[in-house]
Amino acid sequence: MKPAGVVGLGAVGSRVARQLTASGSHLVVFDPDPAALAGLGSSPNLVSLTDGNVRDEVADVVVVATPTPQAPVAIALLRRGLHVITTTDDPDDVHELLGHDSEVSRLGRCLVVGAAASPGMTGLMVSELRHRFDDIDEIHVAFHGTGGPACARQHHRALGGEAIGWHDGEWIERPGGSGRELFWFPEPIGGKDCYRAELADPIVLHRAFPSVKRISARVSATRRDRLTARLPMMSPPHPEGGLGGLRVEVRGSLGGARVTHVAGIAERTAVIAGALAAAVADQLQGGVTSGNIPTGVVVVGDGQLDELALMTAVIQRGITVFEYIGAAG
Amino acid sequence: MAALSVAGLIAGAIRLRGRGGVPPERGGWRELSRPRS
Repeated sequence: MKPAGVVGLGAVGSRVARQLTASGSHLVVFDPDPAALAGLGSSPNLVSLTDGNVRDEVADVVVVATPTPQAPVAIALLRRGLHVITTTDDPDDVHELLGHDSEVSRLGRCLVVGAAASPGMTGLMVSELRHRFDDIDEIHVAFHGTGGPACARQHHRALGGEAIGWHDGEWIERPGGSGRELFWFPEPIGGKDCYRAELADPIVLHRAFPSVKRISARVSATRRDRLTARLPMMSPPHPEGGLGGLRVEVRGSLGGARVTHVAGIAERTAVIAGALAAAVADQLQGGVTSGNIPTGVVVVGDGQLDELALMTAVIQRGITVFEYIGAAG
Repeated sequence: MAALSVAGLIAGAIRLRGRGGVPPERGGWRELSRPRS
């Protein structure tokens, strides 16, 4: 079996690489910055390259963890014959990637869109909770924290952009920074005020769960974040954000009664994204070996991946997933 | 100019203020229980 590949070794890409080498996978990593490659250390399973000209003789499956937009890199890699996993959280980038469905199917390759924390892990959490209902009709996602600097810049833009949501069969747009809701994340994060923002989650979740009537996504923000959202970032973002959090609320029916289930995670965002992208890469590598790999565009939650096994793999990689018991927090 | 400044200040105040939410009074987080695979 050929090694897996990782393109881009920022906060997320380096986590994906560490996760994959820790589980014994052979890996080829690509980053134009020699310092980023050196930061990974050395391992007999690891080959480092500064040339990003990845070809299908080098790897079968590659994780793209570059700053957004990832679509140009991802499409180029698909055309070279690789299966590609993207970690983008940019709505325009997600739209662009989803639009290549017919081409990816024609190539007989697999393109996983948004295998990160939000989107990505949120879809996996919905998929996990989905089995507790007869039918689900609402998904509400909240996100706290950022991964690397590119993620921080994306979230800054998101609060100043137009937030989209799926509402009773149509897309709605609301100003970013509006619609305050207090959401409770797992400890030690606790309660955070969250606001609408220009996030990719509703697009990806609607693709994964097309029958759900209402989908919304919010991000935590302070008053300063909201005040400065439409201005350039005042200070450069940190190399890696602090503790992040995900909260996924799913509403639906069970036995004729209304039911709500809430799941959450408190962990560094890049660690969540790294664990999920690595687990997806492992599963696709297994699919290449067995000849059982989905073709076309895939999003986490749409049932084309073995999501039960994916959640097990993510938990085994050290991510603790919680559920809220007693009341819809 | 003054009128625009005052309008901006009022709009900013409306945008930033709020009553805040109510924390949950019961319940709590526990590790996710999963179906047996």
